Amino acid sequence: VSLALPPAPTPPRPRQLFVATALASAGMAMLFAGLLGIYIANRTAAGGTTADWLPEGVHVPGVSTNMMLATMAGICVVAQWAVWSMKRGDRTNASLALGILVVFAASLIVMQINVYEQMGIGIADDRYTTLFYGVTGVFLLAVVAGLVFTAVMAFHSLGGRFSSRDTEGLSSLAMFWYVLSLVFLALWYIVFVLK
Amino acid sequence: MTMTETRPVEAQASAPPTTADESHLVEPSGLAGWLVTRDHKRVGRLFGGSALLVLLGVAVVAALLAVESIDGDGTQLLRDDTVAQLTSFVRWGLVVGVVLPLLLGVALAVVPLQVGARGIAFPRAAALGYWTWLVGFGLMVGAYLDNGGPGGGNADAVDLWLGALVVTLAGATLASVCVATTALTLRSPGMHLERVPPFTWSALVTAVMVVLALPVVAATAMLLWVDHHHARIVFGGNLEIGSYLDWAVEQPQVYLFAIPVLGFIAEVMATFTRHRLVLRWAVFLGVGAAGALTFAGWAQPAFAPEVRSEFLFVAANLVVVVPVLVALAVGAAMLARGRPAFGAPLVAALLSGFLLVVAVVAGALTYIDGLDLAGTAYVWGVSAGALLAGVVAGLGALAYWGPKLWGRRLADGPASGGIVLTFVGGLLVLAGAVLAGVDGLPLGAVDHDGGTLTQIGAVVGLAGWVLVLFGVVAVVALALRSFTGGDEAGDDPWDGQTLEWAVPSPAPVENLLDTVVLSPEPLLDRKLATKEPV
Repeated sequence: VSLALPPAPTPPRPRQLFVATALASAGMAMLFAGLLGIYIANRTAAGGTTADWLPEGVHVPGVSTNMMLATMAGICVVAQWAVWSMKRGDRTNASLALGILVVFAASLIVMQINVYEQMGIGIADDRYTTLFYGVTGVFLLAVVAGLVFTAVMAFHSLGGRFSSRDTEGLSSLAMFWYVLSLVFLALWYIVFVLK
Repeated sequence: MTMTETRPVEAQASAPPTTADESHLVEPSGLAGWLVTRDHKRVGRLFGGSALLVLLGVAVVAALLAVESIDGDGTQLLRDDTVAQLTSFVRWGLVVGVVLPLLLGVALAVVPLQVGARGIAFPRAAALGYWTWLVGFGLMVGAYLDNGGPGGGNADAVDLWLGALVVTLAGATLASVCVATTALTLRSPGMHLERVPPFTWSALVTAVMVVLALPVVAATAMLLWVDHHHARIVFGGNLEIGSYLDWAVEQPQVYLFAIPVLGFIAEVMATFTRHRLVLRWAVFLGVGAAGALTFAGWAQPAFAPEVRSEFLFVAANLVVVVPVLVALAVGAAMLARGRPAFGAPLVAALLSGFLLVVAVVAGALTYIDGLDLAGTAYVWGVSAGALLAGVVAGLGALAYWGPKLWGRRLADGPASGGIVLTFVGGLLVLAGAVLAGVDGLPLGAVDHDGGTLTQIGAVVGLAGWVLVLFGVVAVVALALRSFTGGDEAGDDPWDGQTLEWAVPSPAPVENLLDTVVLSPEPLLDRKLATKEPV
């Protein structure tokens, strides 16, 4: 007797991009852990969050930095919106979400530059200013990397590569921004709030 | 009753490839093929070959420094102000120029074959990782030549060195992401993580830890660059730069780069004793624990000098010995169970394991109060021993997996001789630096007050580096010879147990293997089932 079973279901596609993005994001988080660790070590050596650390007359603009935090929260929302929309086959909303994500990310760069201008400090003024520029500058590089990643995924999305059954690229993108948001939360508290 | 099930993957694999599909199987020939390759085996060979080339330079410079240190009162061969730079070149060169790319290259070449994948995950990214590493390390060397690097007198070249270090680390990290992603996502059906070959497991642990550890080094280098280029008020000038980064080339961090040695040993022991790996879970646990314990980004002495005398750090240095010993004890137990066949890979496995144990045990003593070994040449001896264990294993990997990569075996006897020379050299390098360290020679110094132990150590170290040089040249020459001549190896020259030996030799571009894995030793299972000789 020969009994033929129906074909097995298609095995799940290996989520290469998602796993690779998770690893890269973990590496990025460690990069900022290192940067913030050095910042804190220097601040502690200078006597902690006292006047000895922050140069006289230097003021971190609270409104702009808080707006950056709010923008990061917004980025998380729109990144998830893009994934959610694509899972439902709604390309229009997914594209809209990605477009807003690009605008939010670009505005982060503008806001950070605005913070530099408001503070009016030079990179070589003081150990605080050198480290401030070092840490926030690397964060800007990470935002630029995120922008490039977003642009690539947006082109893939517009090209019809993603579907309701394949949202891996958008999920990976969202994860990158979540991790960067957590990184910024730490940076915001350590560098902008505690100073 | 016959039960038939059609697996979609098999159905796809058995379908004749279209013309478009076949284009993936063809790599451009000649130099262009190497420049634009997507074949993980070629990328791995590029990494490994470059690393061995760098090793020759490192060994020559290290030998010169040893000559300089024999007579302690002044310099004969080298100018005073170049010693710090050359010492830094040897230390950083051995870590990011030799052992990291050597073992990463082996992992890139072997891991996809071992897990039954058609290629590495993100092959272009893996190739980009290699070229990024190459450019970065080339710039590091250029910076040294232009009087840069830690202690260098040319500020621009010091900046260049810092930037190049970040680029080098980025390249290695990118390639590590590809290795880890391959091991995590591209395994054959049925190959759960606990079924992966031990080398793949050790490569995965190393790759993940590299992704977590190297960015911390890069973070320090980035801030050093910002400060050195613009201000020089946070970290000081060129002379202080090295002290902020030294933790990355000292124990326990440096052990990370030797972790694939443990996987290689387990792999070779199983093959050469013709037994399944015993206490597999212990080996895997040991390799994983060793990986976790090597992370030292949290203990950077330049920022917190007291951290290296704290309980947690000292304990991590001591405890890291345990997983290494466990992995090696399993290897010894396997040796005791069967009569191993002789071969250069087995020699390399045994000797690299021994050298690694010596280094790790010596390293455990470094931070014990009262011995006063921290900050002396002893630290370098431990690092060099662990790293040269990686080199010995790398040469063994060349002999073991070489047939799979280019189809011919290295001559066993001469290859074993080269490996033994490298091992003895590594042991002497370790012993020489340990002697000098016990005598109180500061880390990175060559001038001393004529201490007998230091002088003996310098002679021993010199002999060690010369032997390393000869050993590596011998094995590389044998490998080069086997590229074009010698007996063909056959698909399974070692009577292996894992999937890479089921692929034709040399392995075709896309490996061409579709299989379902039901145990950690799928090829051994197949041989037993078909009654082929085991």
